[in-house]
Amino acid sequence: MKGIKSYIPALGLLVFYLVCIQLRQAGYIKNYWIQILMFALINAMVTLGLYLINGITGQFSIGQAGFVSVGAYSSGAVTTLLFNFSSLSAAAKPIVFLLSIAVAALVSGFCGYLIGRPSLRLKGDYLAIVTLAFGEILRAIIRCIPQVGGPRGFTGLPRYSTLGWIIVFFGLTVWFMRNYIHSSFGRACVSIREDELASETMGIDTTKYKVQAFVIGATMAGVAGALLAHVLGFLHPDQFNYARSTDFLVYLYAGGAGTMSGAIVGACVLTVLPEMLRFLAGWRLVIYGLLLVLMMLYRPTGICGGREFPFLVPRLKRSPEAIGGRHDE
Amino acid sequence: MAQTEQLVQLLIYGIQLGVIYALIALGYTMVYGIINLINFAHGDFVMIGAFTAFFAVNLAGVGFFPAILAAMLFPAVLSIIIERLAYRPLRDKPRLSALITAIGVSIFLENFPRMVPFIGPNFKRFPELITMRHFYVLGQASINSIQISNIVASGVLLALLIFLVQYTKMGRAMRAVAYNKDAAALMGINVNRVISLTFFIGAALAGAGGVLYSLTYPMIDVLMGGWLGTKAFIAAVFGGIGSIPGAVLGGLLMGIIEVFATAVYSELGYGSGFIVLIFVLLFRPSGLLGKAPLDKV
Repeated sequence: MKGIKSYIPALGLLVFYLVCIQLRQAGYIKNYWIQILMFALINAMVTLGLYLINGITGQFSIGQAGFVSVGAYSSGAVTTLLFNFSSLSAAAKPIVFLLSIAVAALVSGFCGYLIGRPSLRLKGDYLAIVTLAFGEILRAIIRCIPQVGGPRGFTGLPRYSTLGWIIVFFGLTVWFMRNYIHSSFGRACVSIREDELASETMGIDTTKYKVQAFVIGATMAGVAGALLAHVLGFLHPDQFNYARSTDFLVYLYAGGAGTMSGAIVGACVLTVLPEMLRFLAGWRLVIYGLLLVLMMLYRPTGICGGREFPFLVPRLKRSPEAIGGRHDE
Repeated sequence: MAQTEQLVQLLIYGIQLGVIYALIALGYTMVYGIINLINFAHGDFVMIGAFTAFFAVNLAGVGFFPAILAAMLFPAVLSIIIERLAYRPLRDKPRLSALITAIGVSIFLENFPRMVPFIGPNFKRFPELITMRHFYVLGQASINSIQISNIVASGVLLALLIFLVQYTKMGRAMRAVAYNKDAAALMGINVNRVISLTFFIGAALAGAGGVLYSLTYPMIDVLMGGWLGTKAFIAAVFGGIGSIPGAVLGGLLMGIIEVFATAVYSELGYGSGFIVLIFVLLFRPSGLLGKAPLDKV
């Protein structure tokens, strides 16, 4: 039983990748749409990290773009400043690229730790503000570092991320999140969300799990940022402002904050939707804003409505109440 | 300029900016105090106020007082409509739904005027409503007529607000609703009307803040409310969100800190407020004048 079935999601991703590549080569989809797809998956990774912090642990971060910027800039620094990427041999490129992603993960994970510590004293909205402020401070710091371009932006990054790389990291993120959420760690986080005091009484080290959630969420954002940096080839501090952070928040809650599927679907749909509305020119953002309001009014549980894709739930507990559920405050 | 003169001069600039932050922060803090919603769209009322005044002056040729009155009334009425349509249906839903709705409203308010032909995305020059005159206060340090009118107008509005909240029946109802919505409803207070009034006052103050800001920095565009709102929001949290004196203190401090930090090193100006905020929150987790929330078990 355990054999082939558990590989279906991974195989599905592989098939998806091959289909995309074939369609592109056959000329059915333009490179433009491949790039949108890459952005969608990167956004989904960041949103999954946010889902762990906001959706599962019940903390409230609105500074996710800050972590993305740290990942993007640190990986860019590794490939561009530390190694001269374009002069490397073809065999060394993937190694340096992976190294830069690892550095991005470490640095942004550390930032997540820095922000997770004050969360021990702060609750709710105050915590939210600190994460917002932290993201803005990171942006202000980046502006002051001339080596990465300061306020002018960081140019000349190798455009090395491909759909393949992104799908691999996306798959790893989803796999990790699924297993984390359904482990004892994940259950501890859910208990903190439901009632922090009660879970502390039951002997759960709430401090540890809250910091852990922040570190993991930030790491994911950092890896996504590293991939993003090497899709764009150009970084600017203002790409990662507070409006960008609210974008991720919107992806999460519009998709449905109760489930992983919600995070993924929300990020993908809301990345693609503005592109589909592009023929409306400037009106698309007007419509986007209206759609957001209408959706919250008429379908407050988000696009996915609290349902989870079956392969995202381990076999033993495929019931929606096990992890989803509503959460408030 | 001598050291003290320079300090006085910077302090004047700081207070001038601070009173504007304070006016905008009041709206955040009052709405938060009453329905626990971070109203992300609040900053955009600043922009709407500035544009209302802009059109009032350019089309109807009115002076300072009618302009600021129009700039207060229009966003205030608009905010009541928005509250009725977008926030009220979500009041008993999870709090974050309302938050996302507020983000949606903000995206709408910023982009709709951008697409309207007579507003558009470009910067517009705000008319000079007050003739610029300089008065020397201490040696070389001077205060100009715009700064004086900013400070006086904010002071008057603040006094009105305090009178309204502390000494009128409606103000007492507002405080009661902020304290406990259900109990207030049981005492016969029309909670919906009180919440509408709170939005009305908050947006009116934001509109006034928009006019005062545009007098000082006379270039306005549709996105000005976004970051101005963020800073005012930070100021509200800094002072203790939900507390009216806190918002005033937070706004003033934020303005002064920002001006001084910019004077030290120009790139510092933007980040300084946030750094101070984090330190304040580390030592006083609910802001300078905020009350620590009571944990109910």
